This record gives sequence, C-alpha cells and structure tokens, in this order.
Amino acid sequence: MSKKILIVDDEPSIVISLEFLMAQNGYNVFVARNGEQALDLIPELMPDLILLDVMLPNRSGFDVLQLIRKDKKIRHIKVIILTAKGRDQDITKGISLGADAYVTKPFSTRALVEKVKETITQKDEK
Amino acid sequence: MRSDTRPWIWAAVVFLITFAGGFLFYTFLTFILAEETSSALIAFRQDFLFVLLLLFVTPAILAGLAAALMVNRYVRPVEKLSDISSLLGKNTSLPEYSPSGITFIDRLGQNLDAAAKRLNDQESEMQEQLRSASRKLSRERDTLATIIEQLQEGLVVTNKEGRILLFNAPAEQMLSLPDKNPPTYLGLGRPLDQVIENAPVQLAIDESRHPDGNGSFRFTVSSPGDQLLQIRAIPASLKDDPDSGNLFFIRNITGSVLKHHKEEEFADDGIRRVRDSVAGIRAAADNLKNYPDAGADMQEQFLGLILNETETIAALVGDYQKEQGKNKPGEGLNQVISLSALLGMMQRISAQSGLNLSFSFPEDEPYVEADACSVSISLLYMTGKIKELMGDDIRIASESADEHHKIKISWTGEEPDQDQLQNWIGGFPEFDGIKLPFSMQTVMQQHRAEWWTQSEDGSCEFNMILPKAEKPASPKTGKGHFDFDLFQFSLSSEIAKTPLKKITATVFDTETTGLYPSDGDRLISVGAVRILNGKLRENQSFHHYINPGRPIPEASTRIHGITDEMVAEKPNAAHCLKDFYRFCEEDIFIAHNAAFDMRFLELEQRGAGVDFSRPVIDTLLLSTILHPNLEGHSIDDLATRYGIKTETRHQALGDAIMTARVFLKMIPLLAGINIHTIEDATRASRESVYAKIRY
Repeated sequence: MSKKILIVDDEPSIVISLEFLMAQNGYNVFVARNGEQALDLIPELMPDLILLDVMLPNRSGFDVLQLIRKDKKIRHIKVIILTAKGRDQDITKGISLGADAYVTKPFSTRALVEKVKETITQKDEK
Repeated sequence: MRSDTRPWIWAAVVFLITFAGGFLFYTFLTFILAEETSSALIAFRQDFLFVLLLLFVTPAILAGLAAALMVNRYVRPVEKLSDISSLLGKNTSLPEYSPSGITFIDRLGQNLDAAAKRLNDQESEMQEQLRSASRKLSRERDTLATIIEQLQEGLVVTNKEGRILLFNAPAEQMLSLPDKNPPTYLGLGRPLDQVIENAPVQLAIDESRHPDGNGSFRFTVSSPGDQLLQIRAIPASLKDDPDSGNLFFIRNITGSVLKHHKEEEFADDGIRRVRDSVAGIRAAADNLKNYPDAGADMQEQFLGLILNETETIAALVGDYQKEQGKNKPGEGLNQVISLSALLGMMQRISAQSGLNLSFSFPEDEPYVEADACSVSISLLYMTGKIKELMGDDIRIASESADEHHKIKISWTGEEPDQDQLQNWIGGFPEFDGIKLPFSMQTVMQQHRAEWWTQSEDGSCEFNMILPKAEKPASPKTGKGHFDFDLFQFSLSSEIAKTPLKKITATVFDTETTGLYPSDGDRLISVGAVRILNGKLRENQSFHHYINPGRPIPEASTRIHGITDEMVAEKPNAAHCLKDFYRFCEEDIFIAHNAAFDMRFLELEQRGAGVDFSRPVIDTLLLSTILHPNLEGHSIDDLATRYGIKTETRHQALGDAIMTARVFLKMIPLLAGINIHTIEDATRASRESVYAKIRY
C-alpha cells in the first residue's frame, strides 16, 4: 500500500502542484487548508508524512508541529516544514520543535521529492 | 573742641606740679639743713620773697608751655593718624594727611597714605575681578542655557539620587502633563521616577555607570499622553566625582516605532508572499518539465498558475516600491550590545529583586542588536512567571549559532501550555517595579526574535533567538570622557632647557562645531601665530577654515560666527591640517586650555597623515599656578588682568594672538616663582589641578 502524505498549506497554487507531484511519485495525497483542519485529519488519517507550511491562518505551522509532538498517538509521524520565511531563526525553531526536515520556499521539486523519500524511509528514532 | 583746650589743661597741670615741686623742695630744705643755714634761708625768703617766687614760677611756666607744645606738635598728629587709620579697610576714601613737619610722624603718615592707596587699588581690582567673574559665569550660564534650549531632544539632569536639577522645554513638553490622568509634573527637586511612573531611573543610573556597560543606558517608557519615550541615561560624572549626577536625553519615538513596525511587517510579509508565489511558479514549471505526459488539462492548469503567480509578484513588487518611496528607513531603536553585558544586566536586576537565578555567560563575545532594557525585563518577567507557577532551579544561558544567538531559560518542572504562554507573551512585562510600555509580543517583533518552549522528562526550556549583530566598530569604553594626558611627552634636553624668554613656539587656537569630539564634533577653523626667540611675530600667522562635513549647530555659530555657508567651499580637515603641519613644523605648541584643542588635532591628524605629538604649554594651567587664588583663568580674564587690549575674540587667529600676548606677559611673572625654562613650565603645570581636566 502506498504511503500517505498530508499537505498542509493555504496557497492553492502550491497545493495543486504539490498534489500532482506527490501523486506522480506514487504517494497517496491528502490536503488540509489550515492548522485546525490538519489537527482534525491527522488522527483518523494517520499519514506517514506531513508537508507542513509554517505561515498558516489562525494556528501557525509551529503550533501544529508542537501539538503533534506532544500527542503520543501521532508524535511518530514524520514532518517536513515548508517555510517561506527562510530565516535562520525559523529553521532553528522548527528543528528544535521536532521537525524531521525543512524545505525553504521556493524549492526544486526534485529536491523536495528526494527529501520526502529520504525522510519517509528514515527509521523512527523517537 | 577737646583738641583746643587740652594743651592748656596739660600746661596748667605741669605748671602746678612744677610749682608745687619747687615749694616742697624749699620746705624740705628748711627741715634738713643745719639751723644756721636754715635761718639764713628763711631770712633770704623774708627779704627776697619776690626773687624766690620767680625762681619757682619761671620753670613751672616753662614746663607748662613745653607740655602744651608737646601735645600740640606730637600727640595731636599721631591721634589724627590713628583716626585716619581706623578708616582703613572701611571702604571709604581716607582724608588727606597734612604734614606736621615732624619727620618721623610725617613718614608714618606717608606710609599710611600709601598703604591706604594700595588697599584701595586692591579693593577696586578685586571688585573688577568679581564683576568679570560674575560676567563670565553669567555668560557661561547663558551659553549652557542656549545649548540646552537648542536641543531637539528633551534633557533632564538629575543628581545621583535621581532628583531633577534642570530640564529643558522639550522635556517639559513630553513629561509635564498636568491635564492627563494621572497628571505628571516635571519640577526641580522631584525624583524623576516619580514623574515617569515605572521608569527604571535608578537602574539606569546604576547601569550607565557599570564598568561592563557602554557608558549609557537606554530604556523606553510610555508617558501619560500615550507617547512612547526613549530615554538615554548618561552619567554626568567628572573624573574626581563619579557620583555627580546623570543626564537623561528623551526622544519621542512613538512615530518611529509605528513606522518601524509597519516597515518590518510589510517587508516580512512581502518577502513571504513573493516566496510563496515563486514556490508556486517553480513547482508548476518543474512539473511541466518533468512530467511531459501529464494530461492537457493539467498542463493548462500549471500554465495558468504560473501566469497568475507572475501577476501576483508584479503587483507585490509594485506595492513594495511604492511603500519604499513613502517611508525612509526607520531609525534604529536598538543598540548593539554584547550578550554578556545583557546577561550581566539581567543578573544584577534579578539579584536586586531577590530572585535566585543561576547565569552562565558565553565564552566568546557575541553581539546582538537589542533594546537591552526591554529584553532583560521581558526575560526576567518570563522567569518570574516560570518560578511562580512552573518550577525551580532556574538557569539562564546563551548559545550561539551562525546567524543568531539564543538565550535559554531552563528549569525543572512543568512546561506552560500554549494558551498560558500566549497570555504571558501578550502581557506587558513587569519586573521589580519596572514596567514596559508594550507587550512581550511587541518586544519580540521589535527584535525580529523567535521564541518557543520545549521540554523533556521534566526539564524545560524557554528559548528566545535574536539575530546576530556585528561587533560595533569602536566599542565605547569608559564614560565618554577622553583621557588625554597633556604631559605624555618627554622633552628633549635641548628644548627643555630653553629659557622661556628665548622660546620659539606656535601659539594656536581652534574653533569647533561643539565641545565633544567624542560625539562627533569637528574642527571648523584653525588659527596660529608664531613666537620666535621670545618675540611675537604677527606676520607669521595661519588662519584656515575647514568644511567639517557636518552641519554647524546654531548654538556654536553664535559663539564664533562661522556658518555652514562660510565653510561650504572650504577644504576638509585633513587638507587644512597638512598645511598647518607645514606651518608649525617642529615647534612646541602654546594654547589656552590646550587639552581641548589637542584632542581635536589628535582626532583629525591621522586623516592628514601627520603627527602633532610634541610638548605643549598651556596658558590656562600656567594661570592657575600664577594666580591660584583668583577665580578667572579664561583668556579674557587674563587679558584684562595683564592690561592687554582685546581684539577679535572667538576667531581662531584673534584668540591665538591674544594667547601669545598673554603668554609673553606671563614670562616675567613665572620667573618670579622660579619658572625659567620650558621644562620648569611643563613640570609646574603637571602639578596644577586644572591639568586633570579631560576631553
């Protein structure tokens, strides 16, 4: 069974491209448009990996990440943060809060796919 | 009338005494002589009574007359002198003494006259000096008042207890708000921290003096008029009295903070949105290229996305350019401070409040750009909350990375939940009586800082990361007073032994944009004249104006009359000092208050590629040695004292000539106190109290 990826982003254009890209690479793709929706979806969906945008309306990607890592049932899920901020402080904060990897926008799709493959097959250390 | 009758009374008394003496002598003789002789004497009296009486009366009359004469000629003039002398020092003019003809008394009278004249002269000289001193004082007070009035910034001067000694109109406008609720009144003698509630006045006084600091301390408060005021405290310390009070410069930053925030937000948001759009374009383009087999629908959609996002970017760039044109870059509200200094400050504040925290300091010297006061108070406020509700064993440390520095508060206990944290971050930080006028959220935004908490097995952390700052190019050390040792030069023996009356020297003076070279004041004029072999050579003079490369403050123009227009076309300092060096060559320097002028030369000489290090004679210092008990030592005072005609004052060449004349007048006076050579003069100066002045 193909692995499940949840895309959490509010920008429609990037969502369309990511959806297409991940599907082309054989993943089962789901989309959440904001943090709340993502937190609702994750426990029932139990994705293998989450592509998490940092700048989300209402609840930031950092908040979502922190809540994922605090919840024993879902804390093992791999998270790649997508940050448009690109500031060193954001990356430090994301990794400190338990992100498995980060990708700075704009990214090359090839590099993103590589990163996803690499992260999704990593042995769980948590 | 006493003086009229007294000689005659004296005459009568002497007459009676002499007569009675004669009579007693006669009676005595009749008793002690043998009977025969005595009888003969008595017979003689009976026959020649008239002759005997004449023998008694004549010497008595003569003695009486002599007594009257003595009183008239000797006693009365001395009495008169005594009367006159009793008027000495009573500030009245003395009656002229008329000679009596007796040499020694007349000499006494003349001496008294001379003494009286000297006393009068000295008195009027003293009066003149008093007047000139008070003129000078009031002039200095006026100058100070003008400078303070002209300041755009508010200025409050306090004593070491924080009580207000002086303030200017802008300060009054910002801080004295009797109509507001609560009202504030800026008044002399009031403690400044009572005028501005919650202001860390004492902290500012302490921190601005702390050896680890940079000699000043900034903090931000909100006035009752809902304005944000940034206050910069600088110790007004003199070298000999480190506790002489503080200057508080006050700036209303309400507008600039708003503008700054708006710009930061706009820039941050704009960049994020551009990145988002570019990410969309790139992903769509990648897909088009990498998946040529995607259906026509999909390809159409990707192309549409690219077109849309391109338009979005174009619009964003347009907005940004418009905004850029509107807003000039906001003034930096923070200062560059080392992380150690920041942690040190936190440690001192927390120790004062009795909060027991352990601090570890970074080993290297990381710098951040921060408003030290608001960051310290915010972090201590957070620490206080943690201590109160979450746990114990609180440690504060820092960690450095490539692009940022992290301040970490760690503790053993519980981690606050998100809502609680948001609540704290949204609150206005308060610690040990100091309350910030904005929320911790604002502090974070102001510093472009990120924060988060994390925990593992009961060991928790609050992290705040601040962008790294470059180490300031020349970190200010000390208190801003320059340590210029006027006497650092050892004299070569040949020059040292030259008698002052054979001296060859360049006497110079400068005009400047202000009094503080360390705060960016620059030279605007140099004037000089040479003394050759003890003679002033006015035809060997130097007078140049300099374009200081900065506006000349109005207050300083008022002193020397030099305006921006006058120097607009003039060469820069380096150019002028090169010429000045050629003028003075190896001459020793003479200047009035040389430390001040030398400081400016020293600051500018590197640019000119010359070195003005050489022995310097300071007429101000010499004056303090010559007239230790007189108040005025300004060049004006000395000119008056030595009877030198005042010419063009406050013009560099005019002042240099005056200084030269004053110096030449000093040479014989210095010889009187055994100062003959250049070496003697510099050695004596070294011991003068005025030599301790620093610029």
